[in-house]
Amino acid sequence: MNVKLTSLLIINVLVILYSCKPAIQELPYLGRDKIVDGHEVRHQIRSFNYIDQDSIPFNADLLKDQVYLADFFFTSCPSICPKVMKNMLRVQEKYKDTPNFKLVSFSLDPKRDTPARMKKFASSIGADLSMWHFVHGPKDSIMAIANEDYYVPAFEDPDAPGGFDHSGKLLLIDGNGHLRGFAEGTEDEDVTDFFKTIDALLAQSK
Amino acid sequence: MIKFTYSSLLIICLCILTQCDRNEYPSGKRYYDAYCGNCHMEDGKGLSKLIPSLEKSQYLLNEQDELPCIIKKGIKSMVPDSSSEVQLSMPAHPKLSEIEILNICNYINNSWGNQQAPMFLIDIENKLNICD
Repeated sequence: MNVKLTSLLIINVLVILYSCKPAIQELPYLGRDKIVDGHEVRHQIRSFNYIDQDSIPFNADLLKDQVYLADFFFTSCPSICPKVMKNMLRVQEKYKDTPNFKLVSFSLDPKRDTPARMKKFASSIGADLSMWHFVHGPKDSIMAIANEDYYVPAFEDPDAPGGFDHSGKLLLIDGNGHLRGFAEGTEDEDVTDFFKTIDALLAQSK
Repeated sequence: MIKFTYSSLLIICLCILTQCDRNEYPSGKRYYDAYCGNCHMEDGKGLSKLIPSLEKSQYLLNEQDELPCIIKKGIKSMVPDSSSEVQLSMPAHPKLSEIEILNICNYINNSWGNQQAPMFLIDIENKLNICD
């Protein structure tokens, strides 16, 4: 009887210990799959060719095998951008020593946001340009990539503060250009929770 | 009778203590949150060097006479490093009324450790009349 009871106890303890072990969260692939030549193809960020704050070419190939966080902004945005940038800075601080991790901010207002202006903006918010890219490209192309690939609603609206209406979402992309998670960049708590998602993707990407 | 006096004193003390953290300008806070808080943030700390902090701010202290004009007309090249030709500026708020500006001024002047004497409507009108 005692032996039985002891083994039962041991099994219970083992079950409890095993269930406490933190499991790595398997992140979903987000976005609509496409059918190409009769095969299902996972949603992927398209290839693009833009330039960054130093006027150096910045294209999708540079993000291959990198986990990155993308957002859409413009330097004269008086509405949600400062809060989103504040949270991007929190992400920068937390992952500053993480290899193969980048931050990418696409400007929706290429007319005003010249590379020089974005560089000044970056330096005044304290962005570390070794991990954070500020991207300048043709407006229509950036709008299309925002709406269709990153699923961030963005459009020109003369009545919106600063002339553009857009969402402050942060998008998490894996090393193959697949969308794996998102957070509301204006919500501090949402971004705090998002750190777990970023950690999970980084753990899977090793 | 003594008991009554003591309890009244206690209640008064409690009332005073709970009032300590209260800002006296709740309408100012409403306007601040709507027109200023997105950039200067709810805690007044702003964003790095781009959006200056209003918390115990020397700039705020020095520019008291300009404050209503700055809120109404915005300001250019607030970033300390003005060596570059690129200007990043604070947007104007031309639609704000004098009352709204008054409430915002009094709120930021008495929040986050700032302590300034209250402004009155006549002060705002006078200051707005001599904007650059």
